[in-house]
Amino acid sequence: MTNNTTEHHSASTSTTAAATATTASSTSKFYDLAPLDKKGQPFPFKKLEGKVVLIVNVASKCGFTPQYQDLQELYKRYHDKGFEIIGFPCNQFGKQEPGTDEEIGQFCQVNYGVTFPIMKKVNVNGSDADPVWEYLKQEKTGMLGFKGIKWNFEKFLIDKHGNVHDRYSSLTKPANLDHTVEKLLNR
Amino acid sequence: MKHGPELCKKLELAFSEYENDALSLVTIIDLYSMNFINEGFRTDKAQFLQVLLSNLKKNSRVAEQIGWDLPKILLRFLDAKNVDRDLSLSQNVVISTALKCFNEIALLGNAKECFLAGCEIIEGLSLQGVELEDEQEEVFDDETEDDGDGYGDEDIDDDDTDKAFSEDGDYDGTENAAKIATEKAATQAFIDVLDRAPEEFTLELKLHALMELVSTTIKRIQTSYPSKFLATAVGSFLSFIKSNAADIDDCIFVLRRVYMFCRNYIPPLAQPNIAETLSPEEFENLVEDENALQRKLLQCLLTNAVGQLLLTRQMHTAAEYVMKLKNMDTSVLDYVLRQDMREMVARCYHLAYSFDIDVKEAFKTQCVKESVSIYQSLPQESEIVNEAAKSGITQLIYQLAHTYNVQKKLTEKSLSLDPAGILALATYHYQETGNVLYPEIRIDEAIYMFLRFFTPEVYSQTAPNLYAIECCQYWLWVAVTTSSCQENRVILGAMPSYVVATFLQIQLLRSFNIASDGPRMASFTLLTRTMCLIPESDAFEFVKDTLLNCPSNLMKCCILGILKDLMINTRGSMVETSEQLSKLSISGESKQSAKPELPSRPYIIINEDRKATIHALAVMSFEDAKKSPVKESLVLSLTYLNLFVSLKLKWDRSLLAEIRDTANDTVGFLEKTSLPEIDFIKLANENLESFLSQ
Repeated sequence: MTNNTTEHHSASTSTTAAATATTASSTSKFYDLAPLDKKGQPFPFKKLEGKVVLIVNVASKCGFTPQYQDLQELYKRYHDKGFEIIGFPCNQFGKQEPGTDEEIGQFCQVNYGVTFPIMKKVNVNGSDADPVWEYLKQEKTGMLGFKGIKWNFEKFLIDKHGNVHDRYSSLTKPANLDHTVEKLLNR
Repeated sequence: MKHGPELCKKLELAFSEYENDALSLVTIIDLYSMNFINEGFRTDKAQFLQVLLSNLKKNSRVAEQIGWDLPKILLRFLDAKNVDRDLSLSQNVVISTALKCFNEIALLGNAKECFLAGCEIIEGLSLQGVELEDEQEEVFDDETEDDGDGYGDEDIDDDDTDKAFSEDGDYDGTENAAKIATEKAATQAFIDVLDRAPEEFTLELKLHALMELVSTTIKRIQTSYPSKFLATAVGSFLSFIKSNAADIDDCIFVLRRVYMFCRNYIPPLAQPNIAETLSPEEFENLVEDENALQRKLLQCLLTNAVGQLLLTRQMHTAAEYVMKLKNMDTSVLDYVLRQDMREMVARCYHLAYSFDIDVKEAFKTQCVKESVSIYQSLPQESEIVNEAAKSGITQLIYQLAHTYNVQKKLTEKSLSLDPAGILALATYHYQETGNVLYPEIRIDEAIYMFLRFFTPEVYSQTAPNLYAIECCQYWLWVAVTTSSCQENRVILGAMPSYVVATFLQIQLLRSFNIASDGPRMASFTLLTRTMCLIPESDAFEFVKDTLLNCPSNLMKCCILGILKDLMINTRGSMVETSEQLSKLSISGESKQSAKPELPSRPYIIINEDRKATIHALAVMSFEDAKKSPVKESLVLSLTYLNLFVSLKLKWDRSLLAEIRDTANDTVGFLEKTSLPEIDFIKLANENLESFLSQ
């Protein structure tokens, strides 16, 4: 990898590498994925097996940024029951996530007391989109059948078996997912 | 306004009196609104609109019936003259109340009718249709003269506003004249601070209101065939774009509205019980087909908007690419790189990916391959046997893309992405990522693509798409710099020389007409580079042809400057050196396999034939200068002289002596003219004389 390669590239490549290294025992390909966390370390999704997971593309300067608060509340409410939220910062929509991974992490903690994991900044659309997002988009299309992510704070809800249960637009408030999360946890 | 409060009361009454007579109610609103538009101050207009708004809110049934008829009335209030520059638009009561009325109509009006009314008005909206204040008053006067028995005619004085106020004894004319003057001054002040024409500002307001109406009402329509409604909206937007894009100075606001529509699009509501009337399979197929059509429509709208709305704008991507290759500071381009344009194109670029447009693939097929296919039927070089055939084929090259576009439009049966839009997005990829999206592009492909996007303006009524042309320049640079000189020489050598010559003609014309220094230099450099890469005889033939036939003497001067460079600089000094610099990281590898270098030779060798040709052309220029002693012809003669001075050591002394004598003769002939170029010619000729006397 060359020095001038963007961090998006590095995230994507590392995820693929880690994915290849993972054992094939998982039932869902979701558990083969391993994106990089904000420190650049692999975050194997294998450790999410048996959990209900909400994956969100986040941005610090977006009109939907206050959704962090709802997300944190949802996380607090259900984390002990096996619920995880994974945030992926992305600067592709209105350049609303310009900061470094460290700055993003700090912003989430200071402003919204976020305790769920925030990954390394990635691209969610285009040829260098992170494999996690390629997988999610492939599994569940959005409005009108478009695969592409439309804006910040789109959400994918994954059940305990690694299946993408549903995809929600930025307009869906995390609080509105409360009932579905609970249902999936109780299944 | 004298009768304002009275009319507002009447309007209030009309809502209850004509509750069941929508036609009469709309007629009353229409007539009253014209009175307020023509005679009212902003406060009067605001009052009228507030009454209208409150009645729409109170009478949802009436709003449903008359809603579709109100937009054209409300649009009259969305005018620059109703804006107070000291307040934000939301605080400008006339504008904000008119927009609130639009909102009520969008929410309460009959969804289908309001949607269709909105689309129809957008389709007919034009910059020419936006009247300025004085013109508007004239129009109104004409109309009221024809009004026979309209409501309010007996109560409202329809005379010219100023006259009515100054002659009405019961009314405080002085105070109102002052108020009119204040409003006019405030309007002028607002227009002065606008960064664009007030007509464009007004058009933006109107377009905003109408597109909001369309995007809100389409969501409320119940249908099993949402694509039909989306197709209507897309059709009206594209029609608006087609008829206005070339006239609007700053199309970014239109692009912004289209972008917002696409991004926020929510399909119409499903027809209730539709699933019960169809089998599950039929229902599923219907939904799938409808979704696919809507996807295609949105992709089509987005790419068309990007392709057609930027046609008068430039981002100087080619210049930026070249400057970055040379490690130059690109901040000098910032004054021309309008930030708002960049941001808007960036938004569209990302939305294209959200809409699953594979920009690279689309660029390859719709821009590169399609462009090559347009010109693939051109005859072989050997078939062009004489000058007449050469001239005919050149005309054909200029015409081919236009003919192709017309045929394509006539035969197209399905929705397709707009090639100019795809070109813009593929080019923007470089500014977004710093990487070239399709570095594999060949120089012949880039030339055909350039011809395809440049030439239609010659034969069609449409305005030149400057942005598309600029993008093609970028791709030409990509092709020149990502392949080796040898590869490019082979490719260019295989192309028909008449195609290359046509390209060079256009490139010269274009470079000459670029106003900004950086981009003009980049464009001339590209021309010079291409001339370095084509066969030497073709390059000289192009120079000769330009010096003989080009109608512009200044353009001839430019080509003489290039000729001088090509006759002085040796191979390796221009193209190859910069190529090595740009590929410095791999130079170590290439050194090992490098063959011994050949002795350097200029790009165009000076032989006897070429000396004689240039000599004859120079003599002709002096003759022309004598016949028509204007600045341009003298500058051309001076440029020839400077060329001979530069090449004196490689030139024939007897020919130079002849030139010296011709120049002396011309100077003597024109001595009485006071043009400073005569002195410059004298000076250059003295230089030549001193060389010849050695």
